Parts: sequence; structure tokens; C-alpha cells
Amino acid sequence: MTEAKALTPEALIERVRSAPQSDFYRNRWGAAQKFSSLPLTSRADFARTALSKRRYKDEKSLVKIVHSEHGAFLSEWSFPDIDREEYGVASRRPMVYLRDSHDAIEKSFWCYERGMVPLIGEKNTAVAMSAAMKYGIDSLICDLPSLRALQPYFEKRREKLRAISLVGTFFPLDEIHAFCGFAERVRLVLALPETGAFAEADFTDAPEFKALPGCLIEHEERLVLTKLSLLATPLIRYDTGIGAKHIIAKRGRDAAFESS
Amino acid sequence: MDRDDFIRFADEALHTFQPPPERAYDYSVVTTSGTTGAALLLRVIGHRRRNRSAYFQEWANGGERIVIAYGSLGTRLLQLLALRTHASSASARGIALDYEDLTPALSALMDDLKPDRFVGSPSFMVRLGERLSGPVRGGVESMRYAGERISAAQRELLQAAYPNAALDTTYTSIETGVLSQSSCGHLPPNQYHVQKWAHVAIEEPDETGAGNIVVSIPDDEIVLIQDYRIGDVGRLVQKTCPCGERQVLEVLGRKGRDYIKLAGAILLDDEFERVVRLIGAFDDYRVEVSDCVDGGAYKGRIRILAYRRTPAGTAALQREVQEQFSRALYLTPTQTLAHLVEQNLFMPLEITYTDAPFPQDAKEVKLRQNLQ
Repeated sequence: MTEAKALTPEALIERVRSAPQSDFYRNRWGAAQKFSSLPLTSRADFARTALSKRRYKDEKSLVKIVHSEHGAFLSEWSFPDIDREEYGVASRRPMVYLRDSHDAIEKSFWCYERGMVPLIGEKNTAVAMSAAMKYGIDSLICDLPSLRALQPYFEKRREKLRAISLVGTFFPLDEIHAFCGFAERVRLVLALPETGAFAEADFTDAPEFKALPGCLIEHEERLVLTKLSLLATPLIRYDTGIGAKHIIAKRGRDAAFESS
Repeated sequence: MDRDDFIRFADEALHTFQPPPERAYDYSVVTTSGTTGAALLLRVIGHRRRNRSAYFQEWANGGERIVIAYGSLGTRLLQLLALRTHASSASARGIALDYEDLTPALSALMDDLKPDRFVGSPSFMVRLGERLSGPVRGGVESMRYAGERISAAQRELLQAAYPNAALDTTYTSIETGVLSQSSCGHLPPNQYHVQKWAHVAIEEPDETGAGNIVVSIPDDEIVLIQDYRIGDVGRLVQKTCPCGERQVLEVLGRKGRDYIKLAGAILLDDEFERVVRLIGAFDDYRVEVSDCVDGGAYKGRIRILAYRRTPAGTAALQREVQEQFSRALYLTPTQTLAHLVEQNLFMPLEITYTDAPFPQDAKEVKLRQNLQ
């Protein structure tokens, strides 16, 4: 795994403000100096700004298309940055099965960066399930629709998976509970395509999300994320659009975040 | 060795497949996508052997901003692996497109990315070209095709759409990897020089030399490939190419899809397309071929279902089109359908018209054989 280059917020701000590659953040911030006074950025800002105007480094990388409510935009991830994510767990034969093909490719590279040879699930569910059976997968990185689609496969398995890592922004606990018998561990991974993973929780009746290393989460009306490393497009006070109360669906239950 | 044998060997290899973490990037797991209905093949591919490594080296040379355009996710991932592990540029970036990305929004995104190299299937590239701006298409310096035969029409479309791109077609399969050398520039579409480490032969050649292509790759890392019937038909032609190579593999197509042998004739998808374009009477078409017994004689039968945006015209006009088609369509190197009808080897051509456009899918199959 690539060693994380954790920066302090102040150091990150300074690097980005003075970066010659882009003035995306410099223009947004204007005279604001303190971290807490920096204006928020959002998907809408990314969608209306070409990648070439908000790229802060030139490394060998994967480019994804993010289809959002604000329009489609590009998101670029260097391979070392993909390695620093926490999408899955260590296993022998991981499978990546996600509805979004760009995310599926990226999570597959995460497996490679961590020394694992992944099976990437093809869109045809029957093919994906047959391939999972043949490969003998022992862990899964997926989203909720893909998890549902694999139910017939799970029911045929004799052994539990080491882990299911469920990536997304909404986790209906009652529904997910039905899959817990198929894995030793079910992880809930809060992530957006353009941010990568930023918090995780083990599935329980009352999951408590913990910010992932290098992630600073502010709990405003919505979750505001800063990743403390220089990404291709840095994430500094990024309004995820996710309300903490809307992450988990269970009557009377709000998402809990571990106090930092 | 046929596909079922290959699947069995590939499945056996899976049991013992356990690479150390530092070698993860030396392997890919790919699977057939299932669109052809054939039995699922899950194949572990080792990249260190010379066939794969040489391909990756070649692939990755040059190109800063690479677009991958294949239907299969596993194939997209494999291509991006080549970028990750072998691209010489430290700032090379790659994007793997999906058919769902082919929306009007794609144009602006590609204007931003400014790709200089495309790798993909011809049919995907044609559809992709419809979504890209002129400057983006003009900025593409090289295009490498694989995964399906490229028709003359596709090649023309792509040459027009990407006027500055060097075109390189590759003969490859999941089972064998890349079998062809990079284009020497002297060969027409679907003709290749075979890589030195692969041995290709033609099984049961007919009078034209066409037969099943069988492949042997003695040093594949995972599965010993010996006389593997790859599922394509072709010819090996001994001729000296201006590049110095002395043998050319002509791939006629996927057995039962691009190339159908029937009643002593060879029905080529490309030939139908040529005649359709020559006569210009349809906007799209599908061909069904079958055999039958007519008056005690075994004959071939060709039915065309033709789509026209405008009405087909009078019965006399339709007959005229039918006769023109029959006189223009070569089913042997020297004889047309009209000749074979006169010889009672084929039924007269049937053309029916529809005003409903055909559904467009990733693998358009225009020529089918009805075996019932």
C-alpha cells in the first residue's frame, strides 16, 4: 500500500493555493485564509469546471465519468491515490460488482494496488454469478443494487464470504440485515464516485461511522469532506450533498458518527 | 482442442492459481460476456509470457490520453492494466467508456480530455465517433481495433471520422491473447501477420483454402494451448508481403456468423454489405440463410428482411432490386447467386420489406443461419 502523505489542513490549503497547475480553488477562496472560512465546493462546481481546469497534478491515472444530477463530469484518480482508499478488505479472490462501470474499474484497481487479482463482474448478472462461482470469490465490493442481484448466488454458497463491502451513500439496515448471514463481516463504506471512500462502519443494529484515515468530516447540514492529501482534484470543504440523517434507513434511527 | 476442452483446462488452472501479492499485476481474470450464448469461459491470463508482455509493451508506447472502448468490463480493465504497468509516460491517463456514456454530454467531456489514442472494438468506435467533436476526432493519432472483424463500411467510416489516426487491427481472443503482429500497413482489413510465438494452421481447408483456424501457443503461462479450434474460419496465404513477412492469415469470420458455408457456397457478411451499399435500395437489413429440399434437390436459400424509411415501391421495382442483388452477390470466387440459381443450387432470392427499424445492439449480427 502506498504510504499516505497526510497533510494538515493548513498545509494542504497552502499547497493548493499556490499551485501553478490550476487556479480553481484560488479563485473560489479569494481572500479567505482560515480553513473554516473557505467557501464550500460541490458537485455543481465540479460539473461546470472542466477537469483540465481543476487538475492539480500530473500522474499516471484513471479517469472516470461521474453521471450526476448536475450533469456528467470527469473525475481523475492517480493509481497511488486509488491505493490509499479503503474500499475493501484483504482477501485471496475479491470480486468487484458495481452498477457503475467506472467505479467498478476503479475498485478493481484498488484490489490490484493491494496485491489482489480481482474478478470484475460483467453487467449480465447470470454471467457475473457464474464467474463468481468459478473464481471462488471470498470477498465482495459492491453497491446495493448489485448486492440484491447476487442473492441467488449467495443462497448457493456453502461458505461465508470473508467480507461484503457495501459502497454507497444510503444503507437501508433492514434490507442489508438479510445479507449478513452470507459474510463474516459486512462493512458500510460511505463514498461518492468523485470523493472516494470517506467513512466506514461495520454493520450492526446501530452502525457508527468512523472517518477514514486522512478524511476530515464536518457535520454541517450536510457532510462536508476534506481529504488531507493532494489528489488530482483536491477535495477541500467539499459539500457531499449527503445529510447525515439520511444515510441510514431505519425507523427512528439516524446515522451516528464516531466523535473525532 | 475445442472450446469445451479449453474451458476445462482453464477451470483446472483456477484451482491452483495463487499469485503472490507483488505479482498481482501480472495477471487478469477475464470472462466472456455471455452475449453469444456460448458456455462461460473464465480465464486467468498471465502477462509475463512474451506474447502478453510484448503486446502490452507495444500497446503502451506513445499515447498520453487513452480511450478504451469495449463492451466487456474485463477487457476494459485488462487494457487499462497495460497503461498502468507499461505506459512509458508518467502522466498517461486512461478512461474506459461504457455504452451508457454515449450521450450528448460525452462530447464536452472528450473536448476536455483530448484523447490521442483509442483502443476498442470497431462497432463501439463507430458509435463513439458520432458523439465526438471534429477537433477531438482530428486529434486522435492512433486507433487499435480488436474483438471483432472490421467491415469495409466500418473502416471507411472510421477513416473519415478520424482522419489523422493510424489504424491498427489486431487479431485476438480471450483464450489466446493477441495473435497478430502490429499492422505493417500493407495488408487489407482482416488480414494479419501472425506473431512468431504462435503457430496457426487451417483445419479441413476447402477448395478455396478456407477452414477452421487452429492455434497453438506452447508457452502460455496458464493453459497449454495445442491445436485449439478458435471458432473462426480463415485462410493462410503464402505470399511475400512488402514488409518482408511471407505468410498472411486472412480471417473470414466467426463460424456461423460472419461466414456461413452453405450448399457449396460461401456467404460472407462483408459481401452482403458490399452489395447492399452498391444497390442502395435498403437503409438496413438482416439476412437469414437456410437449406431446403426443393423438387427433390438440396438447395441453399437466402431471405433478406430489408428496412426502408420510405415505401419499397411497386412490385416491379422490388423484382428489379431482387434481380440486381442476385446478379451482384458473389457466393463463390467466380459465381453469383444468379448463377447458382440457374444451376439449381440455390432458390431465388427473397426480399421482404419492413418499415420498422432493427434494434441496434452492441454485436449486430446481420447474417444468420437458420438450422431448422
